[in-house]
Amino acid sequence: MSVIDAGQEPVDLLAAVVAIQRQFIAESEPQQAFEHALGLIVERSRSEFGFIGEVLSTQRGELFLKVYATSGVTTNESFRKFYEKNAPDGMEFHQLDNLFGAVIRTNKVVISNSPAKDPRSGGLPPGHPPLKSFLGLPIFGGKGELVGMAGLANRRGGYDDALAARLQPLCDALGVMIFSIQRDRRRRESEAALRANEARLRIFADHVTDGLFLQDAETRVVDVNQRACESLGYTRDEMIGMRRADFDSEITDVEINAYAAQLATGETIAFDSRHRRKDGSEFPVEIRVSPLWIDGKPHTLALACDITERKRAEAKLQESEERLELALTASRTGVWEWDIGTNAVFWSPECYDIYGNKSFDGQAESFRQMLHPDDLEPLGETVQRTLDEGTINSWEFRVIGSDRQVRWIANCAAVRRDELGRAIKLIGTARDITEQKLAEDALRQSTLLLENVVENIPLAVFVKDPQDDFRIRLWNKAAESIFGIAREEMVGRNAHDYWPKEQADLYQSVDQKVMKEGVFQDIAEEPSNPHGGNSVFLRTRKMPLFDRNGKPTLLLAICEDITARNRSEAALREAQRRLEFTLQGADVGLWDWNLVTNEVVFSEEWKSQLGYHGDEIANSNVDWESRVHPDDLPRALTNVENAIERRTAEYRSEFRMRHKDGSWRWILSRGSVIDDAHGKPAGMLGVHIDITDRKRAEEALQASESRYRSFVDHATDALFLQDHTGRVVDVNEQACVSLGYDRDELIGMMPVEFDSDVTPEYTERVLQRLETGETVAFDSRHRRQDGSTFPVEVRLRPFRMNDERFHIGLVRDITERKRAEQALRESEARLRTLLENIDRVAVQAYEPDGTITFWNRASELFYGYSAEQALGRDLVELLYAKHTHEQERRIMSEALRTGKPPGAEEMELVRHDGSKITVLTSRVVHPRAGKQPEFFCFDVDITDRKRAEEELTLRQAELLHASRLSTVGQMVAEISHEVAQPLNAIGNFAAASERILETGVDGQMSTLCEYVRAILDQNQRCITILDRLRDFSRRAPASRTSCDIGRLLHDSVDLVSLELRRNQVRIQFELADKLPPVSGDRIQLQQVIVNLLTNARDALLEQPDDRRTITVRAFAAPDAIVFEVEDHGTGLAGDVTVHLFDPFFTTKRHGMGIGLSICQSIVKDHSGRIEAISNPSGGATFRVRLPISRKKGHD
Amino acid sequence: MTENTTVYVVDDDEAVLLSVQAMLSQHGYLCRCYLSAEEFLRDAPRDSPGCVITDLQMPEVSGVELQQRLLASQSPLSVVVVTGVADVPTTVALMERGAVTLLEKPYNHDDLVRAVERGLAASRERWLKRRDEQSVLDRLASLTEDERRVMECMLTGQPNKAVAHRLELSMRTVDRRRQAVLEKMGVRTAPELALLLGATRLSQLPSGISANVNQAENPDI
Repeated sequence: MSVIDAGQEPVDLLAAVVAIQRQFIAESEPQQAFEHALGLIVERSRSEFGFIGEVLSTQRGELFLKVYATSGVTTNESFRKFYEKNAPDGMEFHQLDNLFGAVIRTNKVVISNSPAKDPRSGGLPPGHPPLKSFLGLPIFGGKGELVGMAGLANRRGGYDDALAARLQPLCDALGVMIFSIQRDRRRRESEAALRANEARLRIFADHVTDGLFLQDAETRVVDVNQRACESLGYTRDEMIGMRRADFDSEITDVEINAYAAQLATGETIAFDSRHRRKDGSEFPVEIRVSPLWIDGKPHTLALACDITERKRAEAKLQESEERLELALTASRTGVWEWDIGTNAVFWSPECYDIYGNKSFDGQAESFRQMLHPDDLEPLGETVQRTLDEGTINSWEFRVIGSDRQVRWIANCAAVRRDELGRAIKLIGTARDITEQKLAEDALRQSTLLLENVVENIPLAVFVKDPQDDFRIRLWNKAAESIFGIAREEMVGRNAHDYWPKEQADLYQSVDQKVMKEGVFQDIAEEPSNPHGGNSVFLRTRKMPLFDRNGKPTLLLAICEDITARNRSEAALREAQRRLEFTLQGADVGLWDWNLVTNEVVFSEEWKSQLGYHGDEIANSNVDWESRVHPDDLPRALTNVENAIERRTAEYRSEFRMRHKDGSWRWILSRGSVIDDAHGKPAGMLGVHIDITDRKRAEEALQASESRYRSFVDHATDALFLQDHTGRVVDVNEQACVSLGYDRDELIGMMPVEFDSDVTPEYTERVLQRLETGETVAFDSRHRRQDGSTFPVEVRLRPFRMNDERFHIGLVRDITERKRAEQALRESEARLRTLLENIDRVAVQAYEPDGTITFWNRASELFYGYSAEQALGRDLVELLYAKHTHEQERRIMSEALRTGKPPGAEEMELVRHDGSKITVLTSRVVHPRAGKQPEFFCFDVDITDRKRAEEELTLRQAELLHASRLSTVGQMVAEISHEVAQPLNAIGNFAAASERILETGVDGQMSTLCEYVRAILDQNQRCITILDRLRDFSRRAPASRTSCDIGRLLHDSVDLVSLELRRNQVRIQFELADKLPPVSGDRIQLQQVIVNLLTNARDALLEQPDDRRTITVRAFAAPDAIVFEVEDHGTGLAGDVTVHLFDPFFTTKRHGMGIGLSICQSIVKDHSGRIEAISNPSGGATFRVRLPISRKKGHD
Repeated sequence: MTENTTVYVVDDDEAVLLSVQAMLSQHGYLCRCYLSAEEFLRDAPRDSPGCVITDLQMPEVSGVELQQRLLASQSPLSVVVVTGVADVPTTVALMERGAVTLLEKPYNHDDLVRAVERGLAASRERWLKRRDEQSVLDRLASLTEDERRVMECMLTGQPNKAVAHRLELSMRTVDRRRQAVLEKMGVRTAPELALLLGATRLSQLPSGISANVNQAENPDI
């Protein structure tokens, strides 16, 4: 190395600095650039070694040196050791009380050419290479601050300022380098801080409870937080790039566009939607979206909040609100809710009172237990209907409260459904309607009571419907008897159906008046005889019945039979009329005519009759004459003259006078002539009575009379009006026609003159009875003018007219009736003769107490008693065996009570000689008017029939036996095989035993015993088979024992088992447990079963082996045991089933066709039924139904 | 009586089964009893002589079917049929298929013992013959393809020279193979060989050979 050339050096140095800077920029590690620079400085300054370091400060602000490069360390062993010891934290030096520390402290160049003596030197640490001289160069950054330093040591000849100045550019370059290192470091630190901050923010974002979605303008997800991922079940990576529509199930493109437009204005929007999870499930969300700009592009930040809970809470709130509403609308009403899923019942507090159950636990089952047993089922049905129909329904039912009180509850309920329309809840109200129900009951009771009163009151009560042509709506018992018309006949008809038109018209006019005016009307003495016969006198009050609005709707009539009271009442009325006359005296005009002065005094009444008063009429005779009708005047004057001339005590005249108003009034004038002392007429005194009304009535009456006469004349019965002596006063046309007289001829006649049967004495008696008011009816004969007679029925009724007594006689020609009566009598005689003489039917008539009143000839023959002996005796005592007396009397009293005869029955009766006779007795109850009914017995002797029946039973038993024998015959081959088996075994065992006995028994004794036992067993087996066979073929009288059907079936199968086995037929038993016994004949039933089994076997013969199964089944049915034999064979053709049980009908080639016929007769004999059924799967089933035996043991 | 001659009794009636066993065991037979034909067929030996006493009417598998199945499996067992009732067609069919006899129940036990004795003898004979046949077949199987060709020529009676010419072999080779055939078949001469193969049931010979044997024995056919 040479000394630095002052002239050339700067150029070299600059080039070196440029190279160093280039290296710094190029190299990733600045270390080498520093080492390069250090080498350059050490070389240029001809120093022995040196270092370059950065000045840094600790967190506490204490400066220290960090060495980037040292020279000589790698080559000098002692240096390396020194560094290892003094810079354990890398190349950092914190000790600054030394020469390089002076540079850092002072920011100045430090030159020390004798460091050992330099006060700034803190002394070298042990191991430091010897320091002869030292140059410390501060390095400043861009802003003049100390960023580092370089240290050089041991230059030969020491250091000076000039050298330091020369090295300055290099220090400047190093300053730039260190500054840039520091800047990089700061940038890195701030980046790290930023990154930490970002991570913090992400953690925060991830943990917010809402899902965050950062979306771009196309709603594409740019970023999401953890919560959003969790809520949707996607990962963050899956979510990024998704569009809103991919996970939002509700939002539409239109909405998205609308929202986008809104967001563009910078507004924040919120809406509810539904998010869809990755697994497809959905949940409601509330979304708030705000716009934000990232990198100059529009984005949106969406916050999605899961509002499932809120929605649920809302729904709950809504429900509770509805509950509340219901409760409010129906005050004093309990609200309940039944959760169908959990079966829990919610009760509002009122319910506990209403249902009377304080301790209800909310279980539907507990509620069910509260219900009245009778209402349990109907209520269940109603509830089910409500659930099915889904409408609001109400129902009423009873509950029994915890106080045992029965309450009536009215419920009204509605069904709540979930989104799928399933019923989840029933919500309803409950109301206690017990009081209402009780009131209803009371009302019903009182209505019933009223109905009873109306029905049984002795007054006729009936109701007519004005809207329906006054047809009868109600007709009580008294009405029935008074009018003689039954309710069934009358209700729905009106008066026109039963009364003559005139009368009915009259009734209806009254009815109409009543309805129109709304007040009652009385009809007194209303004669009524709609059915003929005696007239009844009635007093009827008719009144309107008003509806709730006060409108008359129905007409009520109450009607009393006053016939009995009629007479006295008539008298009373007469007296009353007289009284009325007197009372009307006030209305009588008086006139007083002085014949001497020809002056007439008219009373005020007289004037007022003609409409005048006071002076309007003068007291002059002219005033009277001028007012009399011109037509009547001559007669009136004649009458007056006559009265005066003849001195009549009583003057009477009728004439018309003109009223002031111009009308004509009829006036009755009565008066007396008054004589003077000389006996000459001096004057007349009299009265005027206005008789206009009466006159009009008379005219009306006359018209009515002619109408009446025509009616009477056209009546089909002859009418005779007689006076109280019986003399004919008037007759009708029919009377004339029937008797052949003129009306005039008949009037005045006495009954004896045309009645051939009536004597004067009889007439007298009739008259006496009539006098008492009685209606008299009798049959008689009338004689015509030509002398011929005909039978008649006469009815006479008295009545009064004008104080006189009359009789009205109704005479009916009864020729026809008499003829019919005669025919009836003849027929009766014929029948009697018939009953008397019929010899096959014993007929007896007797009273309910048993007393015999009729005993025909056949009865004599049947029972050995003559009619004389029997009549008057007690039938039961006479004919019935002692032990049957009580039963027979019970039957009779029952028949007497019900009026219905007992059914025909077979009876064993006792003859006179004590022998028995079996008869079929039919009884007849014959009702008699006014008496207890009479009994008739018709007995037919069936002793012979009985005997024949017994004979038939015997023959049938023989037939059964024959049929069984035939079955046995058919089974012979099988039976021989069956016996062959044990016989074969016996043979083999015997042979084996013989062998042992031959060869010596030693040691074989036990074997021998075994063989002999086997022989005995097999012998027993033979016996069993033969016993069974013998039983089956035995001729035994039919007997009834209690039979176990299961055992019978097994035994029967045993009988034919070999046959079945030979034909590869299997038997499958399906027997129910514990079958009750049936009463029957074991052998006969076995015969039925064997027959059915054999038939089934035959049907299976053409079937493949695997189908050859017979199922034998037995089970209990109500009151019966059923057993079935089922095969899967050829089955039954449709036309076969009809004749299946007919005798000699067969489908088999070799069959007799008697088996099933016998089966049927046996089963019938057991009161059972047999039927054949075609199985759907092929084959046939024969089903036998036998009644269960009620008694145990023998019948 | 060899120990391989067992009597198999098949009857669905247990009493009968036990009685037959009692009787036959007293006569010194080894008896095996079966309540059904299936049970027996599962147990039936394939390759030892014996006699079966079977009932005719049994549920499931009948005596007739039992006999058919035994025949189908080429069993050497003899069949004695016992029955309660037998019709003529069934009897004829049974006898035609080689039943020893048919006894009607109840039978005389001596008849049964005699029938069993006959059945056992016939079965033993059949079995022995079958065993010989099998031995020949085994020996034939031990021949190589070349030897077999030489043997076929031998059976047609061709001399060695003709054989050598036909098979394009040297005389030496033919002679060597001829000796090998005779040695393996256990005979000394070609006629002996022909006799041995002729005694074997033709149906059991490999097809190629049977044709040749036929030709050898009946050259005019």
